Amino acid sequence: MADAAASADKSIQVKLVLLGEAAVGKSSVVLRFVSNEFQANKEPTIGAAFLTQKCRLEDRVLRYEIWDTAGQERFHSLAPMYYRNAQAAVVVYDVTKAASLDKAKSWVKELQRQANPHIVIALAGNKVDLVNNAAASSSSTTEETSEDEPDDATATPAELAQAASGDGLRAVARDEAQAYATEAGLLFFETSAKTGEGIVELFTEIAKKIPIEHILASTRGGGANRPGGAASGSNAQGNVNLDANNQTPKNACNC
Amino acid sequence: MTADVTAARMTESPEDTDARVELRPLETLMSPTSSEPATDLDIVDDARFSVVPLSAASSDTPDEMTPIEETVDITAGLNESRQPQSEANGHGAENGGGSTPSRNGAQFLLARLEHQKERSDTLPARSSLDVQKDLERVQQTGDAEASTIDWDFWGEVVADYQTYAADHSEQLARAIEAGIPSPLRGLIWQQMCASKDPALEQLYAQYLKETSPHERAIKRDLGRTFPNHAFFTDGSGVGQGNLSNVLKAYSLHDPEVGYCQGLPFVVAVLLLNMPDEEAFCVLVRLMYSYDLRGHFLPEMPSLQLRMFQFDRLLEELLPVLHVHFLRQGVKSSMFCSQWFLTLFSYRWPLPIVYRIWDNCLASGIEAIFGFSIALLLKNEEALLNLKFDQILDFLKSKILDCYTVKREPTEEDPSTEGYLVDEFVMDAFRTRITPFMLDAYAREYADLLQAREAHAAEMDSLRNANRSLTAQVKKLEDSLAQLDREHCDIVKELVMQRITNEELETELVRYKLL
Repeated sequence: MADAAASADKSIQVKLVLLGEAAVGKSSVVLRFVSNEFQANKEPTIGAAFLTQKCRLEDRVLRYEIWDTAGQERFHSLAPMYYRNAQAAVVVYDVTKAASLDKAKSWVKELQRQANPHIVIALAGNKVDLVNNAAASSSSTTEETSEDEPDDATATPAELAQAASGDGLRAVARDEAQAYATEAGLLFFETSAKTGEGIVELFTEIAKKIPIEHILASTRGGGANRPGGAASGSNAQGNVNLDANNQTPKNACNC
Repeated sequence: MTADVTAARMTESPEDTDARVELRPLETLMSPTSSEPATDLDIVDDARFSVVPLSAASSDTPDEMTPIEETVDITAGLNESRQPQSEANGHGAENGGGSTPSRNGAQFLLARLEHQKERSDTLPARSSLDVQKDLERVQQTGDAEASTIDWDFWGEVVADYQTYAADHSEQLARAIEAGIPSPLRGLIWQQMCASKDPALEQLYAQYLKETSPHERAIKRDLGRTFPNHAFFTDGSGVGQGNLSNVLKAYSLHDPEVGYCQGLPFVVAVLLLNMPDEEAFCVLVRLMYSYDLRGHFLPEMPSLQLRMFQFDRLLEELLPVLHVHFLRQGVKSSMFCSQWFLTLFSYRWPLPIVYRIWDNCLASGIEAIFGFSIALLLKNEEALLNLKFDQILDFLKSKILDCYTVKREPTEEDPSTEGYLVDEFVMDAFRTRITPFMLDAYAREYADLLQAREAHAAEMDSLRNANRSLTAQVKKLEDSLAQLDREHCDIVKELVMQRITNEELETELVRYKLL
């Protein structure tokens, strides 16, 4: 995959993998980040899917190369191939399903044991839109970010306004997940792929925490010559400008 | 499949060089028909031998293989008589039957009949009355397509598929290549895999009353299977209900597989062509006789094998693209697992999916290789100009563009895209994939696995040896420390003794002086 780096010009490649139990919304999180869309009934991912998204962070352009993996346990044996060289991982759980956090924890453990030792891991509690109005939340969040995103045109109001489906009671307290994340040294966010809440923050904080110099050194060594971090003017469309949301770091924890 | 092999052996002797050419159409018709494939060693052994269509015919008989340009609408294939949600069918059945009789027909007939006799003992044959009824029901629906179907031909096929396959193999092969008329597709699929089994249907009814540990996982994926297809969008509709039933029944029928993502897509394609209890029977047949089961077992052994075979085929038939993929870091597992696990039904247009299934059910699951390779062959030039991420994107969303044509939407069919399905099927048949290649690759893979296992075992034993040696080292170090300590004590004692000695000596000297 060394050659793949050459396909993007003047941007820093960040390999990122999404892991987590089936149907917690991994693909939806990526879809929201990559094309700012949401599909209510997405087909389950079979095998894995690959997506890319460029984003700007300060004077640098990062190019996320995202492997979105299948969640079902049966596909577990394929996962190492995708996280082996990853510089970042997003481990997703569903805030309405307690068991999904356990699965997330086991993924974190596996990553810490077997993945690249410098990997940046973020824990994302998805589907927070289902519980935002419920009282169960101990420290309910106030982020409302989808409006701030630069290219919001693709998200239809209908999608955003769609009522949350039935089983919307919070099963994982925010504090509990936060405490675990702090203890394990992870970034932590509660997100909603449906409303867009927390998604850009998630990828922004990962971008900040990535040891970029390290990546630059390693890609240069790999033969792909790219002047690191040169701000290019060619990334006008479709890119996420991470700085746009930087003024409001909000609940972002230990970075 | 035993019959195929017998047949193959019979033909090989008279005309060694021509045998492969002549074999193709016949083999494509011989479906795995044993009712107990898992326990029949013969079948397991020969499974790989003859199920894939030999394709040499393409070069020898270009006229016969000329693709028939046919455009089909995306929604074609719903069985009007059986599914209330059916949509307009634009799927033509222009090819009612081929004409060239096979030279080896007689031999195959004999082999087939013999096999047929065996079969009739093991499986209750479907009464021709039933079939007749089904046929009439389909015929009476009188939709646009029904009038174009060659009823005489397909009637005969449906009445007794196995016999017809033996008697008119060439003709039937040609007809299947050209596509089974969609109102008949469900019926013929069942005949091809000989799935009709009242006992199994009874078992199905039984399973529905039980509860499965996988029900939650199944329920979670119901709305996510063909979410854009009218038949499956309604959460409380027949489509999702049947999907749930068949998946649940299967998870009870085969606890080892249980439920696996990917399976709902296979079931959904079946449900679009037949009622649920029949879909269940075909599913069981697909899983056990066509070895789809190995795709879904834990660790997915057959999927791994097929991906290995696919890699080797790519290397053999498309060497330039193979190297390009290697350089770009594209592994076949990155796109093939989707194709193979769902038999191409994951996000592919149904008219194409159905035609692939026609061929898989007629000639065995290995037909997937022909379609996969043909697709890459057709797109080779485009793919060679792309980089890693572009390749994956292309494979995901543009790979079928070469078989897609824009067309004017008609009243009954508003879609603006049609597919050159016939061309695709013909291209798939033209790929030079032989069972011998697949066999060889399977053996290579077995060797590889064995080597890998041996390596793992060696690693294991080395690790164990290392562990015990480490323990031994530790023990020795401990005893060494102990000895050191004792040595120290002794030396100390010695020194003390010497001191005492010296003191005594000086004392002695002093006494002597006195």
